[in-house]
Amino acid sequence: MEGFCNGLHKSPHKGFSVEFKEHRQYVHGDEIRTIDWKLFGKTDRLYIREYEDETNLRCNILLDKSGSMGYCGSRAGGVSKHDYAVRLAACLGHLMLAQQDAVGLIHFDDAVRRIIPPRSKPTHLTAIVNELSGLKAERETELSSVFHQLVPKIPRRGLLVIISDLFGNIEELMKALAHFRHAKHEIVIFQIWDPDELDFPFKQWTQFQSLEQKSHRRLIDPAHLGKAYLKNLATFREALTAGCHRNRIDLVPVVTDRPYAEALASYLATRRRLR
Amino acid sequence: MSFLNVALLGGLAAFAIPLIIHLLNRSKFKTLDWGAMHLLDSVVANNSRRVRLEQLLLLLIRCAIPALLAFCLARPVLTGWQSLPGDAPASTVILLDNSYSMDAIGASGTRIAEAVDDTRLIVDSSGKGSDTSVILTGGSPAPMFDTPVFDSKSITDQLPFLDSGRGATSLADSLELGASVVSAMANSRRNLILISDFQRSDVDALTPAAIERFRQQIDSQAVPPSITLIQRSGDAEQNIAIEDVQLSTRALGVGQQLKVRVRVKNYGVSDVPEARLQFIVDDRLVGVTELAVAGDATAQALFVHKFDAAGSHVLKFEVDAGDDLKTDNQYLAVVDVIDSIEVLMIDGDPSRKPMESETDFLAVALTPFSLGQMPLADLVETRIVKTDEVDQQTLEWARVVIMANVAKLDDERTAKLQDFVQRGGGLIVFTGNKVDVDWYNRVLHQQRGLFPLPIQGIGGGLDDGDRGARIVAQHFDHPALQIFNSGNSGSSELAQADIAQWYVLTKPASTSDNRIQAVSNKAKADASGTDPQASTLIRLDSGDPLWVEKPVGKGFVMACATTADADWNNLPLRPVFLPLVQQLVTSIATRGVPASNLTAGETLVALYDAAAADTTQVLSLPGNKQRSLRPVADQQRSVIRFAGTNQPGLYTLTQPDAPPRHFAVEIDRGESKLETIDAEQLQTLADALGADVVTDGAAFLALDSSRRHGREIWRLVLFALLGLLFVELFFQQRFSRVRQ
Repeated sequence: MEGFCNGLHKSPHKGFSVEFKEHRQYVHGDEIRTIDWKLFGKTDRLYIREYEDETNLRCNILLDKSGSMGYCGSRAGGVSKHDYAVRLAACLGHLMLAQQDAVGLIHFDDAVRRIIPPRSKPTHLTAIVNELSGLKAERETELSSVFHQLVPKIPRRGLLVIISDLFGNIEELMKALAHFRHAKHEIVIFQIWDPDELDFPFKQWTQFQSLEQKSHRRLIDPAHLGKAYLKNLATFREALTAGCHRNRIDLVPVVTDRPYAEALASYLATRRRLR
Repeated sequence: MSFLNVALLGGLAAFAIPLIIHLLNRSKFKTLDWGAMHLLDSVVANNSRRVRLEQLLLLLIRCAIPALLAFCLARPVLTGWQSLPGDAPASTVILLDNSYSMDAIGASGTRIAEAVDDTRLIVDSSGKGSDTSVILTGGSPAPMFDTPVFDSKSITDQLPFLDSGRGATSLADSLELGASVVSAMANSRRNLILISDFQRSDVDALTPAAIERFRQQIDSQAVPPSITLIQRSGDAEQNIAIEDVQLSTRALGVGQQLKVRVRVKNYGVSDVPEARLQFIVDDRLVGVTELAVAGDATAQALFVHKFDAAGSHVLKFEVDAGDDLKTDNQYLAVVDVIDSIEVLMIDGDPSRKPMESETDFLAVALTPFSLGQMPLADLVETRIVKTDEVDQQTLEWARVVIMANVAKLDDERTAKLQDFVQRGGGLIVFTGNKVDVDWYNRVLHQQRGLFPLPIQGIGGGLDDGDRGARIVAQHFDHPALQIFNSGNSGSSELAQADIAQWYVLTKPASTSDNRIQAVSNKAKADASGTDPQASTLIRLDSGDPLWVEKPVGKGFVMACATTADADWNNLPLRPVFLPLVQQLVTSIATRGVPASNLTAGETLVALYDAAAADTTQVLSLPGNKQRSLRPVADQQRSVIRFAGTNQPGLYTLTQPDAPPRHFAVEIDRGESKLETIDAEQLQTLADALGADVVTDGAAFLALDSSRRHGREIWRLVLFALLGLLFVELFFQQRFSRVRQ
């Protein structure tokens, strides 16, 4: 089975490695460079050399770049949730490729915007980072429909790292995540929070304007509604945690006032202990 | 409902302050781009109605707090709320008539005793927290205590020592003061009670305009008082009174004769065949006479007395006829007998021949008894000096200096003379042929101010063909000349004298009390070079002033435009010259001496040497009361002024090493006629005043219990306000607990 660290056991899949596994007869469509020309000289038949594929990780990083990820509170040191998510994705990509795991990147908002398939080549990091650097938080989120769309586009099971604030309908989201799980993907969710979203520190009358839909505004007195917001938040997080636990999904809440490296290291250490 | 402080109702507008703060807060919001809108949406959807209600509730409470405070400060009174007698505190002003007519004795005692009983009953019945002010209306109305008192006992303790026998009551002044006092009192239940005998003379003096003013004063009050009239008229009718005592106005010396004319009036209708009138001097009976006084008629008696010693003497007159009112049966007067008036005469034209010296006629006129070797005493003591004999010593001796035809004085003597007049001395200047006109105009008039008007030239002439002048027979205003207004030595006597020659003095600007006129006079006087303070005493038919007078410092200067001897006129040869000179000399010597006979309420003034400043003098008042007074330094002397002479009687200033000084304070006899208004007229007066009439204090209490009074509710409002403050705090904590 696949692992997070590089190939420690054999893989049942064939692939490109130094260990020869078997020959098989050439069929139309096989790459010509894989033909064993020596054997062709001996047998006058075209055979393909197949090598044993080394165990490695196929990881797809699913990055939410919707408008809500653009929030940047005063305590986040000028780093928006989107910035934080991009850096976290780049960091994960670097770590994976450093272990020769294959890493791919999928970013989306209300639809899938780009899919970079997983590769394990070190140079693949450049492609991922280039893609990440050009992203902007915009548009609305439609997590569940996007996830449902993605399931057939990720044929090989692997690790899905979802980096998002997961703002949306929890039931629909859980169904979508269950769909992934059904396809045998392992899922880790880094849920990005701004400190303001967790403690709602506002005092005076404020007009809250949606980052995803500018016409959506709410003028409220936080002194009177703060309590209800926090209660609502707690309910949301409890439901999310319960849903993830039910689907055996690792939910890692990350707050943007905490260094992402630290958050990542903390999660990896936890995961290593679990193994 | 009405309000005691209506102006403070304006504070109700303060309710807008929380509203404005709320609206400002709402309008000053910040806009925030927010991601977690889905978390907010449900919160807003579920809570907006509740939050709006909470905010509305808090806003209403906060608006109500300042409005309630203003309402509370305006002191609302629920006028439709009847309170039990003695239950709610009341503010009461009692106008108690203590004029001397209230001393009249009737079948049931004196009127004032009945009025005091009524006052005591009303004060004793006042409830807890009530404040009362008793205003004594006799003479000038004055409260018994400076401020209304809440302790009724302090008033009832004071009532037995009430000063009665005061002057006539002015109902207009008393009602005005009562309305003014009651308007500033503490409680919403207010009473204004007038207890009086309601004499016809007092009621007649209350004009419809005064009643209208009083009604306006009452109507303008936030809580108008209930007005009640209590009449205590008794049944006294007979009264005989000393109406007036006339003393000779001339200054009186030791051994000189004083004539006193006493007028006794019978105010009743029945005749009094034998009224015994006593004349008492310094507690010694010196004369008694019996008078028959017909009903509603006046009788006169004349007393004559000589005084053996100088000083202040008390004259007391008493009439006894068994009438109902004794207070006006007495009359007090004070006579200040002076030892002598020292007159220094500077003779500018001395002669050894009889009656040819310039001062000979003056000496005869001033000391007729001494020169005639008669047993009577002269008031004036004279000394005649020449111009070069005038020095500090002679000036210190003199009270009056007469310059008779003096050519001129040197600067040193002129300065001393000026200082003498400034300190209060009198100077009389007679002119004549020796006079240096230029020196008189330049030095004596212009520089020193000792000659009232400048000399312009000579009028008339001594030749046979020259036309002389005579004194204008007129009514004299000057006190020294008032004896010439009537009687044997009338002004016609003066007018018969021939004035052959005289100095034409610049006519003075006529003096006037009218300020605008006075200013205009001053402008005229400045233009003509005359002194605006100079006034003409006697005028010639040529229009020129003959006698002029002018105050200088504390003293006075008189000038005569003609001679003191018979050179230029024949006045010294006429009998009228003696009283004229005597009057003018005694007048100038005693002018500025404060009066010893005062009417009630007039300020008592006593003069002392400058050395007496800040020493303690004791003033004995009627009723065995005493006051310590200190003379206040006033230029070259010190002065005591005492304004509290409301009570008639004898006031005596005693000093350790000097004879006492007496002052007699008498009242106007306006209330001696005991006639009071009847019940019908009283009801008419009550209707005009908007008052109720009751017979006595008990009837007032019964009436008061039946009246509907308002009740102040500011305490209730204050409690509501405090409650709201707590509720606001509670809701504010409860609604915004999320802030922590």
